[in-house]
Amino acid sequence: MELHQIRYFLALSKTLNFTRAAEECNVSQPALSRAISQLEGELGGELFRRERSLTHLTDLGQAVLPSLRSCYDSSVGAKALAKDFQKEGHAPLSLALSRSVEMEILSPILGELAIAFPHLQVKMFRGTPPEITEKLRNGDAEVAVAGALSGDWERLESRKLYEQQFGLLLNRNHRLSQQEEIELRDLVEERLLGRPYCTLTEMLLNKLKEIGVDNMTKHEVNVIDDLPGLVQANYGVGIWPVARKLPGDLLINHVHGLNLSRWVNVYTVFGRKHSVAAQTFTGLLRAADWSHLASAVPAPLLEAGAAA
Amino acid sequence: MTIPENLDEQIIACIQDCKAMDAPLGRRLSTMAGEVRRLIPEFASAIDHLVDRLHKSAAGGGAPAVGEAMPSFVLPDENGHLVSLSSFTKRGKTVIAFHRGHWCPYCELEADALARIDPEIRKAGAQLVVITPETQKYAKQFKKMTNARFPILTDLDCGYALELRLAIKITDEARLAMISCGWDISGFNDNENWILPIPATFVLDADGIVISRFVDPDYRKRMEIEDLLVALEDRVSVSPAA
Repeated sequence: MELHQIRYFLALSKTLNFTRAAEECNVSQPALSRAISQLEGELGGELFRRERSLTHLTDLGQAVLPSLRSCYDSSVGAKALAKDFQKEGHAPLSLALSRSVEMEILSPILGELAIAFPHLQVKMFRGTPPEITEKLRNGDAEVAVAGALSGDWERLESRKLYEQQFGLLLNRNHRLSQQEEIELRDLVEERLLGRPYCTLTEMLLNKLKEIGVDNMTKHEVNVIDDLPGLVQANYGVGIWPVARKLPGDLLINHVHGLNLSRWVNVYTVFGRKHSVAAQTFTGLLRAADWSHLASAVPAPLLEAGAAA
Repeated sequence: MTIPENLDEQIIACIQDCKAMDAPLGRRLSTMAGEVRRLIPEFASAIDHLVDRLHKSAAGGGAPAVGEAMPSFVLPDENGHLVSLSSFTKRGKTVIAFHRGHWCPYCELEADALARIDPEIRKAGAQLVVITPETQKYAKQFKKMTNARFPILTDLDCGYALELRLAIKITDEARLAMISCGWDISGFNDNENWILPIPATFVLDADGIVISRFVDPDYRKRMEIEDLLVALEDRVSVSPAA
């Protein structure tokens, strides 16, 4: 396939009109038609049904559209990166992150980005899923790295990055700290330090409901880094990412039969023009090897922060 | 499609046998292809259809030709470090090999053959780099499988391959045949695109100009190692296949 063939194909799939697609691509209509025919020859079928007043995509055309668009976008991005690599010039990048996404995990990738763009200017925001969605929606953030954002906006494009493992954060003098393994029912008398919008807090509360506990005492803590201090002060137990550095005399354990994990994704907005820095950042995240994080499952009575 | 029960093992055994053959790469590749055709004839014929059509539409023919400049790239290596084409060419002649991925027996055979001549290539002041659409996890595996010392770069979604006119779409027939035989590449490439590069080898001089190339939409064929070494020796181009 050739870049220009796909460009014409994308323009025609949008306009469904050979004349207008040719205008949009700045070529003659015969040139556009010829390129589309060549593409059809290589793909082994018609991409468009050519009717006098109603050109439309065939099933094959529909089927190949997303993959051809993805390949095209990546090609344009790759070309732009090769051109701008280590060049002077302003390179803005606005990021929105979940509060529990560790900077340590992103920092090698941000490091590469800083080498690629010496004049990179980052604007970073941390917030709740609705706040992150809003930042993406109004263009304040180009890229987000977050747990699940609400799926009611069809322009959100997401790619899974890695599964973030969580454990139960305990004070070393807590009655459960001596137990090899914590059962769900051990938490019946417990106080939970929950975080708003935390899907794992909700999951844990639902699991407790299933065994008849629906009045668990719950503190609400907005900022994840406030959890260790409160656990230390014997306010209860918290849910903590096992790879996150942890101050104080604390332990992480897991709850038997409960998979405390969630996917961290990279989000962008479909159809928006992304800066070269944003495209490069997204590409680096997707290409990265995250397998070292998959093994960061908390062993019983894990020394806090040791898995990082 | 009838799939022999222990297809995996037979393929792996055949790859090992081919690696051990005292024969030019071309013979090893054709032995592999013959064995695949014997084991899974329906798969081989689905691939024949794809390759026939790609030949007819001259796919890959427009890739950088001898005498042309290789378009620049900046791609991450298997450790996530961005590297540019000029970082290679400024040190001398460069061999760039496009591979489909660690799962492809022919790529494994070629990468194995390249790894064996890597010391010779380095001694000649040249360097070797392989580009695949796979993410770093699989690039690392590929390196390990072939004892490669050269970097393996990720061309995510085949963006650079498309720029070089090397990207091809795997048709439904071939895709389903690949999945039935256990070659589901979507996880390796972090997309559902089913777009792959035509395997190709380019030898560049220190100015980034192509001095020899091999491009064939039939992925079972690769540049012969002898030809590659000859191309590194002098500026005369040899046997560009397409």
